[in-house]
Amino acid sequence: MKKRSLCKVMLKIVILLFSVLLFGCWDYAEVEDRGYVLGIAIDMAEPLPRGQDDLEEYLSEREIEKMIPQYGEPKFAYTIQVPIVPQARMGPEGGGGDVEEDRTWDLTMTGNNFFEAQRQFATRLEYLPFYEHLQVVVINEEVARQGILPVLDLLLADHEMRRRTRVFITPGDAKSILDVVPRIDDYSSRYLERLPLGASRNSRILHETDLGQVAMSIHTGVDFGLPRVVATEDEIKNAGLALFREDKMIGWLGEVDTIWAKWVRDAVLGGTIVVDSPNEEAEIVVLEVVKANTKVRPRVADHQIIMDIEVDATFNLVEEVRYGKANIFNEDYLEEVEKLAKKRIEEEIKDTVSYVQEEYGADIFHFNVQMRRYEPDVWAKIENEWHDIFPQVMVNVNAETEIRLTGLMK
Amino acid sequence: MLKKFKQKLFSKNINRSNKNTENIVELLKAFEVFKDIDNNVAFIQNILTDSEDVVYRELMLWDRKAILIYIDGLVDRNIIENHIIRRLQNFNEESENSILTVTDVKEKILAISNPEIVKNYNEIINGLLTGESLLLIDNEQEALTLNSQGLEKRGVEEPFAEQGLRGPRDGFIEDIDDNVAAIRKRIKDTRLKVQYHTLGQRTQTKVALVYLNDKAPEHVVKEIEKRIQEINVDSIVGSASVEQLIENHKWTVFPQVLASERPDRIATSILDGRVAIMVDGTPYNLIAPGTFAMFFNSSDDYYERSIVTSIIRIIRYMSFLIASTLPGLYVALTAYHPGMLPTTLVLFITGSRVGLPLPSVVEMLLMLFTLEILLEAAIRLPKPISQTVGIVGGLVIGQSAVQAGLVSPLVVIIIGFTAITSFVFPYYTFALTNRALRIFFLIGGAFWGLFGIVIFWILLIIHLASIESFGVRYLEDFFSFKKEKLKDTFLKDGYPSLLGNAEAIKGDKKE
Amino acid sequence: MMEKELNGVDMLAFVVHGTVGIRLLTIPRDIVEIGSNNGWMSVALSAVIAFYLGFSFYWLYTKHPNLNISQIIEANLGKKIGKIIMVAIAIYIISTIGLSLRAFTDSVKMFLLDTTPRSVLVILGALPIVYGVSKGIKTLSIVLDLLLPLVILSTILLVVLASTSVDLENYRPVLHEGLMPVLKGSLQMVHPLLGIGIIGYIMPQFNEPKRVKKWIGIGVLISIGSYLAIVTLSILVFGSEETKMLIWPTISLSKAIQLETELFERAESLFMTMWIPIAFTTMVTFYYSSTLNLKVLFDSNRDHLITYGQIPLFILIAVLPNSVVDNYKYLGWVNLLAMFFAFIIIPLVIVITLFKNRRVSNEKT
Repeated sequence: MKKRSLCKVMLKIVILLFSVLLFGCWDYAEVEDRGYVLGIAIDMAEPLPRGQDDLEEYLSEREIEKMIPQYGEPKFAYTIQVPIVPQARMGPEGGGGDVEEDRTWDLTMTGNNFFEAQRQFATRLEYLPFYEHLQVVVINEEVARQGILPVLDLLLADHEMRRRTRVFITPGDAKSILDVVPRIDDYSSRYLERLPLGASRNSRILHETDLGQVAMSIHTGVDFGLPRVVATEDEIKNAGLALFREDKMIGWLGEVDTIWAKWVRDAVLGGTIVVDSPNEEAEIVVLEVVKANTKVRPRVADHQIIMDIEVDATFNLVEEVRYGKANIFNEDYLEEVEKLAKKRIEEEIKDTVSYVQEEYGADIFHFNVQMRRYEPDVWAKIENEWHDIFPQVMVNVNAETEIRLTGLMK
Repeated sequence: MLKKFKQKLFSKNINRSNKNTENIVELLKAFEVFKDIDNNVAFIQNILTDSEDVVYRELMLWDRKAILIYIDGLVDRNIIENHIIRRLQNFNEESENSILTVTDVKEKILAISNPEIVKNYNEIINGLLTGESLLLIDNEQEALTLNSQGLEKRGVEEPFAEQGLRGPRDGFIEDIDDNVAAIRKRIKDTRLKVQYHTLGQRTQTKVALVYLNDKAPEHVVKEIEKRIQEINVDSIVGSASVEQLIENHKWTVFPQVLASERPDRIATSILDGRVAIMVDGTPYNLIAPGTFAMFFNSSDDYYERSIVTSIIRIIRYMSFLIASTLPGLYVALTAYHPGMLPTTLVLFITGSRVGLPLPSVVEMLLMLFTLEILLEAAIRLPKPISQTVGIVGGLVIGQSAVQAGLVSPLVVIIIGFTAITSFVFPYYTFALTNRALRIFFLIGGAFWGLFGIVIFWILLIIHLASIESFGVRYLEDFFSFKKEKLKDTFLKDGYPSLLGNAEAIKGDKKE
Repeated sequence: MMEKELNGVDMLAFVVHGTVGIRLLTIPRDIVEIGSNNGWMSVALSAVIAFYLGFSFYWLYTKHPNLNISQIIEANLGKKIGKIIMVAIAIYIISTIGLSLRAFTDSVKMFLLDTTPRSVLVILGALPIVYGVSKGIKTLSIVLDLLLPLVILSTILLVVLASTSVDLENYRPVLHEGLMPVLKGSLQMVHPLLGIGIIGYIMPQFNEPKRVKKWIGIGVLISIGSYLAIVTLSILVFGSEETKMLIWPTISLSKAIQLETELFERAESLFMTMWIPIAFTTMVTFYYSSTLNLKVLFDSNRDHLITYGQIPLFILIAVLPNSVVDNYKYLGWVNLLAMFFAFIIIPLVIVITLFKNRRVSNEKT
């Protein structure tokens, strides 16, 4: 009995000693001690056109930004955006900051890859860079044309990164997008991150653009598009898309073509299409998309791959310029508009597909995915030559349109 | 042998020499009333030495000497004067009969409800100490103890700590007989059993077990009885000491017995098949076995509509989660996983913490500490001052600490919120439990973030599941997916289906 | 003899928790790697394995009342072979606990605590397991009952939230590579499903063994349902190609949740916290069966020694693998061991029991 209790006491002591080792705050970091990186911009390293006045007494910012890599020449310039919280207009104190002052701090560092540059920030930023709130990644066109996999590698692999971070491509300087001082929002990254939410109102916006999607496309070998952004001093415009073949950007697709590319991808959330008015020449009817479903089915006939694109769309008739003239209760009129819409959808889709096929040969419509799903046997044979075959794929579009509701405002 | 005892007893030092009360009881048990009345008086005087509140009132009963002994203050003078002394004196005038036995006195003369004929000194002394008066008659080897207790009692008042809105307004008082009567008044059933026990050698506290014979599970009643009989202590002060002496697990923050000052609460629990343990001298009476769910039910729940009550119950359970975990969760989320919070919120919190000197854990601990101090101060002080303490402490300290930039306003909000949520529970004991848990989870959250909190929660659940109170599991109401059990936990079913539902504490089938 | 204090319903929680554990986080990848986008069929098929295992344990108990599975093996295969098999069982169970603990801490390290030393996480993770087992079977049963809704709720929540990013056509092409990969894929489920072996160890504790049967069935359906939901969802959301690239597909699923409101930032951390209890419950059931197994192996009744004696073993195993990949390799070996038990030992015991029964009945007639 005595022996046992001694044993127990010993055990308890051992457990106590062990438990002391458990205490320690390895991951503890105060919320204000982290530098929340809201946005990352990736540019080419050399030309950094920034209007910095080189003061005599101080080093120019440019010189600080240069980091000598341990090996080779720096290829890219990474910019991270860290919020200056006390300056936020919508902050806890209810608008402490002046409009004049910067609300974000955009630091640039040059380096060969992001991981390297990321660690270099420690030489200039006293906070621990924290990426779990990363909203956007903006990539310069030139960088994208060289391939985004090397620059995004860390972002794709690291667990700290969210799959929801949005990726954008800009023809200009990526940094200038982050430098935008938005009029309403505090931080340009937040502003940019929320822009794609407009996709339910406008199909010029590509909305499925997060890191997860990019990773998936690259992993599964599917071509994809990323949205294009351009910026002024206090505004960003998000419309159109950059085409990617594998991980390299190969060109731009215009805003209107983006609409029709989205139609093919069954990605339309809303927006409008415009058709000619059946009544009068040179007048137009605007239709609001209520529902748009697209089915793409491959068909193989005589060594020719044909894509059957079935579109099923419902519209609201929103406005007709100079309404009152046309009788919108007239069924014939509506039928006429439906037909025009059908024609328009079919033509535009065909146009866009053939444009992409001829100009870029990038399968952003995911025809190959459909091939894999529906024609696995054929796909197994042509899998490796798909980029040669894709431009020759025939497209057969059939649209069903319906106008369900007429917008009456009287 | 007997003489030796006698000598010892009469040596006047008995109270001092025998520190062990057990011995006195044994001694007293060995003696019976002597024939000679003077011997008796001397004996009692020797037992109750230095007790000047003991009154020895000499009387003549016809031609015999009689003596009435009682302790002043414990007895009702009215009874002593009108129903005992006057009757005895009147008898002297009226009657010629000199052949008088104790039985005659008991049956014919005294106007007392239940006089008892006693012989043993143990009973006699106990009776005296509990406020009975003792009538000794010369040449009789028996004595009479007369019910003459007349302690000053508090009137029945509204329960102090356990208030309700629609329930009855009467609360228990300090007298056990009245309290038992309050239960009897509510349950007029022949199967309602009342068992008295006397606990504490010095205090001789009366304890009653009250239960419904057919509803309370036998093994539970037996277990409680056994525990109570096993109690062997010097003193019992209030029900809390009984509670601590009979509960299964000492080292837990969870109460295993519910203390209530509402007769309706105790009565409904008895109707559910639980056992009430009533202790003399306290308005807080106990219900055993106490289960986790009981502490979330207030007696008001049974007076309000069931849908509304169910919502309130769910809010109480949520409050339990919030009150125990929120401070820890705040530290875990802000210091370990700011990524889990929405971006705007994180930036908001960051903004509120910019430039604060203390780490958030320390801040939280300090504020919790302050809160505890405020609570203690407010409870101990008289009402008007305690309100001032509340205002000064809560408003002034909180407000100025934030303004001075010492603590983040969010921490103050969280502390305030947890303080409020911990008062949602109908029983103060459980609010205390919650306060202890709060610190526990704060440690978990501060050292290991969310992982620590979840691990601690698992530990807590295992702990709760392992607690057994009188053969019934503490979480009896929640496991095994029984529909009947859930009727009175998260939700409260309507009355028809609740009545006669003793499922809740049936416990393990031990038969 | 121990008191029989469990009711029939309690078996439900044991079956579900025994089978649904930390493997839920990785199983889509394991299965999709073999069965590609028909992996969901593998899971559905594995229901057969689960029912076979569940009811074999149940049937063996009805033939040998009041004996747990280790005792049954000993009784049927003789003392020597029995002990050898029990040693194998012990190795299997303890390494399963260790490796699960490792996988569990890996995921915790990945998603919740980055720089905290692994040993701390392992010890912290082991703490509730040991505490739970030391409190006895009744307590365990209550805890598992209480945590059962969590398994179902978290699965449902994940399905509901992630269903917005589902691409329904990802299930195609159907059976392009034939049935073999599907069958092979379902073998991956043997290891998690062998957790059902807890039945063999706790059956003697039930007061109405006959009622248990129904709950075994329901339990198997629930756990197969959860696995099916998760695997199908990963295939539908990511497609088979991407699923193969993910280390923790189930957590990536929660990462893919897209809501316009900012309610769940980083839902994966939220789900990770929800999965901690689920991982715990599985390990605790394994630990309990391990304790009973060792008791039979050493013919000993020294509860404390056996319960606490295993702690260093599985903690060591948990810190043994060098990396996630290493851990996978070891898990693969354990899976082989699991198949050995499921398809060799258990049928063997069943056959011998049948044989003995026949002989007894022959002798009677």
